Amino acid sequence: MPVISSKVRLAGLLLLLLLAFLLDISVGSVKIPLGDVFRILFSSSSGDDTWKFIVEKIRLPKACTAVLAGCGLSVSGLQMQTLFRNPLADPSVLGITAGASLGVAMVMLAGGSIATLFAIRELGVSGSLLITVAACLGAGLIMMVVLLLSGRLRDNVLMLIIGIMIGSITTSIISIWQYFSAPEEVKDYLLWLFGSLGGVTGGQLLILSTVTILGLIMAWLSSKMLDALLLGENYARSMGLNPQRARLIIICSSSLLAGSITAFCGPIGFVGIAVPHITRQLFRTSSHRILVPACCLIGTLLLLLCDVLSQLPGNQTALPINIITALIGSPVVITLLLRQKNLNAF
Amino acid sequence: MPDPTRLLQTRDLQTGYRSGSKKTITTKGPLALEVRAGQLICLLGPNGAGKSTLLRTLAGLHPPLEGRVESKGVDVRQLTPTQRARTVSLVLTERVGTHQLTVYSLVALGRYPYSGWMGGLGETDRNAIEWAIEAAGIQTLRDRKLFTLSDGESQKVMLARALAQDTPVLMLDEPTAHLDLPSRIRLMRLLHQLAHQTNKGILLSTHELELALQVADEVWLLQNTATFHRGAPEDLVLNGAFEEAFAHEDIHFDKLTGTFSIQHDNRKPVLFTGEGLPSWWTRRALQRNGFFVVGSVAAGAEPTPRISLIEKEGQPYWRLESAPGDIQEFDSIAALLAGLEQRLH
Repeated sequence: MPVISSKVRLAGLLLLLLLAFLLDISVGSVKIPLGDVFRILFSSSSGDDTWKFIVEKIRLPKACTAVLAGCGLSVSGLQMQTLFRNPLADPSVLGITAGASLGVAMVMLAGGSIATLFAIRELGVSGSLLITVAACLGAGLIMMVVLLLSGRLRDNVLMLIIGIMIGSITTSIISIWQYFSAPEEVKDYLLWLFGSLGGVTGGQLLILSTVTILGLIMAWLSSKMLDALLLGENYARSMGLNPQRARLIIICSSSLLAGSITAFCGPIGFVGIAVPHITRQLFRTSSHRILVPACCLIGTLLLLLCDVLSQLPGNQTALPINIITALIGSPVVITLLLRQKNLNAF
Repeated sequence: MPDPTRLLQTRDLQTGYRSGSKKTITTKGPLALEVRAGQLICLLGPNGAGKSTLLRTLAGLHPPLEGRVESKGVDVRQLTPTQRARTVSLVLTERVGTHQLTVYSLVALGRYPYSGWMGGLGETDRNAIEWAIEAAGIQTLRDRKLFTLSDGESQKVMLARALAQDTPVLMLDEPTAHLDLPSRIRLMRLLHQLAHQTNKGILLSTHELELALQVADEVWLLQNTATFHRGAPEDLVLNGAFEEAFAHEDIHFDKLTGTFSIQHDNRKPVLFTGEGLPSWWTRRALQRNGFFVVGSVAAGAEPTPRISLIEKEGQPYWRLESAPGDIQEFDSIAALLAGLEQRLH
């Protein structure tokens, strides 16, 4: 029976995810024996203070961020693919990611202003609260524009095109800014573009998890609407779906997820577009009640493993997460799609 | 007190599109239509006559230009989306065959207006789904993926989904398009039975005029923006509405058989007498070959070939009298046609 096997698969994934989480915490540029990691995690007895600091203040928050980003980006991608009935849609299609980038670019490239440069140098690129606030504002701004427009439009395809256009406008504004900026400022911005799961600690992690969980709950509650939208807007309407309201809820939840994660971690690509496909292939279902949690698990698993891999090469330096997600994820998706004969069955 | 058998009713309806201050009228009306319980209505009309717009307007998904559509005395545009979805279910022309969705899950989606806010299904819902699957005759398909279905299967699955929605009115937009002839006939017969057995009001748009004539309790004939006929199919045949609606220089509507035939230029009259099934097919063959079949010839008219159908030892034979005294006999329609061709040229 499909329901039971889905539950078994979800449970199996959950187990894998726990392992990946522990693995992610135990690898890094500083070697900490696994036993000590466990001791730090599960007992209060302090061993090495440096190790304790590394695990509690760096690795644990980073793994938590990976979990949040993995859930949020995948579910947001799933929502976009279903809403727009387009297998290529992902969280960036509405221009929300570009909006967050605009916010960051505004701070980083603001004409070499001393205050901003000072703030960036002082706090470190990814740790800057200023940057995350700016990114949130940028994402929020674009989200407001998209939501306002979505109320006026009847057609999801138009919405998709307008989202892409808004994204282009935003990106070109950033390009103008980059063109007139000093090379060092552009470099800072480019580093942010590489994406990073680290540096989200304390209060920031609290904010990120609150917003992400809110977005995920909204997504989970919208699964019935998403199911109906699978048949297209006309059928959905004939079954009693209010398309405007459904779109509002879905875009709202997607914006919260993609906007907040991009703000804190940079534009992490690939997860949003690939995980929904992997999930549909693995679970062989279109029911969003299963797909939403399954996407969370697979997205998290993927991002945790990518983070582990990004730590491996140098021991001293970690590769940016964005490079790994695409490098590892793309072959996975290609393999899965090749195994499937009917490519239309998305 | 509203009549309970009157499921849907229009008042002074005019359909079309409004964009800004510009109005595009598709059906001028004013139309006073009604869909009654247990009735199968076929909406016929040439391409572009506004059939889909009329259906969408009746279903409350599209605002009328003028007038209103009522269900139990309430304007359907005033109903909440859920109330509307519990009144009218739709089968549309768009295909939704490209999903991981199974047939069962798709039919289950028909319970959308009734299921819980997470889409949870109760006992009633599951019974309705089972009934719909059985009624549409798709028991063997229930675990198949949508993208593996043929057009005919897909159409029946979409019908099952609409049936699971359990509405008094069911509307289908060109359900027989893309289907082969046996599937078309089966689907029409199924809809006819459903209307009578479940007491639903079924409205479908179609190009299948000949099928519609056989199963429809009522025909709505949308000729163009200004002209609309409704009535029993037979009445519309007799009063010439069909002929007028589909009138075209080279298309001829045969009132006797309810079929269209291609009209040939310079048609030659032949006199034909005969009875039974061979007679019907002989007429068809003669018409196809550009003859104008008459039953009698006025005295003094120009000489007309006479064909009579006779029977020899249980087999039909055709006797052709091309000119007085010139008589031939044939044992097949093909031979008769060849003989006619030879004699007349």
